[in-house]
Amino acid sequence: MKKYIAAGALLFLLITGYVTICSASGESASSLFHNGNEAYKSGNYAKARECYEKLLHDGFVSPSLYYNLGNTCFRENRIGYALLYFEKAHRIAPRDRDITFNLNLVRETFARYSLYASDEHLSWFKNIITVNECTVLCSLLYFIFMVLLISYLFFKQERFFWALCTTGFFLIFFSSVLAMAVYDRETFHYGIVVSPSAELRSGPSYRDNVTSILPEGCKVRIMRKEGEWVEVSVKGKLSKDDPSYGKIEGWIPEKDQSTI
Amino acid sequence: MRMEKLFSLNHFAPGSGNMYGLSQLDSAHLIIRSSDQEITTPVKVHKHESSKEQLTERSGCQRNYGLKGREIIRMKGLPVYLRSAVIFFVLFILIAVRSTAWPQDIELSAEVDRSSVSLNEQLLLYVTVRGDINNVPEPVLPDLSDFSILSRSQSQNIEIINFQTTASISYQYILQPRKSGALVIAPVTLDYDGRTYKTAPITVVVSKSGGGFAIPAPTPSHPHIPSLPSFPSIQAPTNFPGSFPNVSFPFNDSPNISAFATVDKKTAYVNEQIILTVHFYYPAAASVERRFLPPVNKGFLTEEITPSQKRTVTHQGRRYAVEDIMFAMYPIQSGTSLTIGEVTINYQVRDFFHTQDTIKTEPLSIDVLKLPEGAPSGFSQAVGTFQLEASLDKTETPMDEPVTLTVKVTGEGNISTLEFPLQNIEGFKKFDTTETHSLAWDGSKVVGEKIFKTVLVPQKTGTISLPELPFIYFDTSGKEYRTLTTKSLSLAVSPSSQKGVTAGKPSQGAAEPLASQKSDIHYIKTELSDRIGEESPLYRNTWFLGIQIIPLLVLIGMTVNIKRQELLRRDPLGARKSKAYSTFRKNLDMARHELSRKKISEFYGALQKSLIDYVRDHYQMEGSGLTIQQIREALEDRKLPADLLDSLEAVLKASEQARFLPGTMDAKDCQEHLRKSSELVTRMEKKFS
Repeated sequence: MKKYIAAGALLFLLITGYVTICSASGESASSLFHNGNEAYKSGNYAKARECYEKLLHDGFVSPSLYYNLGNTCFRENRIGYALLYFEKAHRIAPRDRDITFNLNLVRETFARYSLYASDEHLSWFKNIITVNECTVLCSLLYFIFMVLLISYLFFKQERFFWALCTTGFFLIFFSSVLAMAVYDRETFHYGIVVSPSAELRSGPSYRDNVTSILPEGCKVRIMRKEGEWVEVSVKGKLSKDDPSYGKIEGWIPEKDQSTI
Repeated sequence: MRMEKLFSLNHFAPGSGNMYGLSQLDSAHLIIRSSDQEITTPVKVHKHESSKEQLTERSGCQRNYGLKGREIIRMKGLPVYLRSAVIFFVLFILIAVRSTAWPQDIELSAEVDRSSVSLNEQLLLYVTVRGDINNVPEPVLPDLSDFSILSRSQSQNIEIINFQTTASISYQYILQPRKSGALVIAPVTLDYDGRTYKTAPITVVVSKSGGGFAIPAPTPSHPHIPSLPSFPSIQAPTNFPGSFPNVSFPFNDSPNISAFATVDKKTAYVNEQIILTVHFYYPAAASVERRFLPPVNKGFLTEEITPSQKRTVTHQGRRYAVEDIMFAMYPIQSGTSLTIGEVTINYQVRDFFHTQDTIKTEPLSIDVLKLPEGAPSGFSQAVGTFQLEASLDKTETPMDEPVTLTVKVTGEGNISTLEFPLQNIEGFKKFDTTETHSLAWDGSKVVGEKIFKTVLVPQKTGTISLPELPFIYFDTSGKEYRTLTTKSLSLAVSPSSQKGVTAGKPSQGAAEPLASQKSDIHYIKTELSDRIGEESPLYRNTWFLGIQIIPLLVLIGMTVNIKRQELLRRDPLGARKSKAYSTFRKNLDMARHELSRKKISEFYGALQKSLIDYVRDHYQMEGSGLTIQQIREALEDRKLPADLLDSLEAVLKASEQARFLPGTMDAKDCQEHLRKSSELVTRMEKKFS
């Protein structure tokens, strides 16, 4: 009996400690976020960015945090970083109206001449649902499918058969979409040019010729990395007067871009 | 960078009759080829004047060549060329092993060519990595916001002296200070092999424009750093119309191949263009391939002019081909007798012997003058002869719509490093300026154009006039400062029907990147949403993936169970046999439980049941309530050993006795019968199943 009491007391202490730590951490994060918001309201964008970036540094990932950081960078004229954070926010909260609005606004204004969103595969999918949400959906469909399958095997009733077929159809559809999304996520990486301009060179060194200049905020697909350089490709034209409209490839210093 | 090392031996005469051809070796060159360049470096090899007897006796030499004396003597039986080849091969392997097998520590250093410079001059920053430089990344420059980096080049150098290999890679940056005062170049860092290397900070004193110091000729502290072309090559026309200076024919003793260099002027101002021409002579009938290294110098920006030009000349009745290789050079510091270093040409004659050699031009001296005092305000080091024009891409626009101001500077001079500082213009919001330039060779000098594009957003309506924009340069022909101004431009700005432009700047490089915005961005979020683990996708989460297996396991388990139930229904005896041993273990556990409660009678009851049930199930006997006699007879029919049957019978009888005559057995007997029962069943399970 004593053993059970001791184990119960230990469990209670552990749970209490965990809850205390979590609430303290949440309180600290919330307080920091609030301080950032106050600084933003008063126009002290540098202070606001400092608060938000500290949260990021502490490993806090949240669409609100990315969104507010994007707004702050936008107010500071750091368009590349603004786009970067709006993209990050949109990736984890694609149905948030504010995030979508601000992202599109900045895209249209500052990256109108580079083929921006449609450059990504499955952009229609990414605008509706996240990969994790799709993963959970597929998992739920899979569980339902298995329950129906077991029921049908045991009870041999026709209603289970039709329910099984319907669930199976949706399971196959969403699993295919998920597979493509996972492949896209693991294979293709995208970045935003965050320096005022990035010289696109024909090779990974400053000795190679400059073939074009990528503007700040330009979204690039990262092909590969070599040393301090990354090979990128951009679809579209870089200026309104640019008659060519195609794929531009080249190398830029890795520090000139930030991966989404 | 993959590199291959080749030896190019000069004056090596294997057929001279000396079996130790190395004693004839007085110089060598190590050619380092990378994907885009080739560098030839002199290799210093100690010359041994020893005769063959001395060589076999001098242990020092023997160690160097890695051969014992007697091994060398044994080689006497070989032909001369084979011996030479063997020695050369060993030498090559030794050097290769020394340079690759034992990686050395690397050493990072940074230095500038001078510690004092005026605001309108440039300085050179050398960052050098020495040691095992294979796969060493480029050092990271610190924040050089006080300087403009005008150019960057790099070079590699490998020296072999006394079989000691020293490799280094040097990065050369031309910096232009942006302000006066004591400017600090923070440490250059290099992360390599888990270690971080740092150089010491460098302080440069920058005096105001016009107060530059007279810089003495640079000391050759970097004799092996070739100045590689840092800008795109200048394209020369294929039919070369230019004339060359009259020079005396270079061949005195009529050697076959020669080269010399000339410059178009011996005195120049800082940043004034100097054309260096290297004349490479070889017999017109010969087929010669050549590679060259640009001049070694420290105080000049160098641009290569391609392609080189070819012509033929006749000397003493013999025709020679002349290839003229040209460079545009811009001195970046003043001083007397600044040296334009030698140009190295590696060539190979495509004859039967494939003769290859290296030839170098003599260094040249140039007096570089400081620009005269009294430069007008706004002078940005443009030297040469220039024209200026400016235009707007629109003559009328709605307010807040962007327009692009294009300023084009054309002419002859230091086009690559031209700057056009544009001040704020009243009535406009000004964004960053982008620059592009192109260069061309007009037959005697480099000409080109530089275009500056600036996006302007009008901030008020009406007709706005852009002021005349000045461009100040030093005219080398008139030797005076001149100011060019653009024509006045005007722009009609109509009221905008849209809201004002929000914060933000346009994309650089875009001709018209900024569009009007219909609204501002949405306000920030006041509540911190929950932490989301999207950064670590679920499909990689082990727990999540593990959970997905559960329904599958359930399905498999249930299917197996169904199959088993069906099997039991079809073959009850077989099913009982398969479960006989596990049933026995369970019954035995019950017996042990009774024993622990000191209930001897119940213990023997459970023990007897477990044995009888096991025998019945295992041997697929029909019926229940089997007697000891029935069991024995049945087992005898199955040819079980007599000792096993006797033991089984003894345990069963003892069990019966204990059940019906309490007190005849004690705990010790119980343990003994328990052990025996287990042994019996184990034997039956293993041997007679």
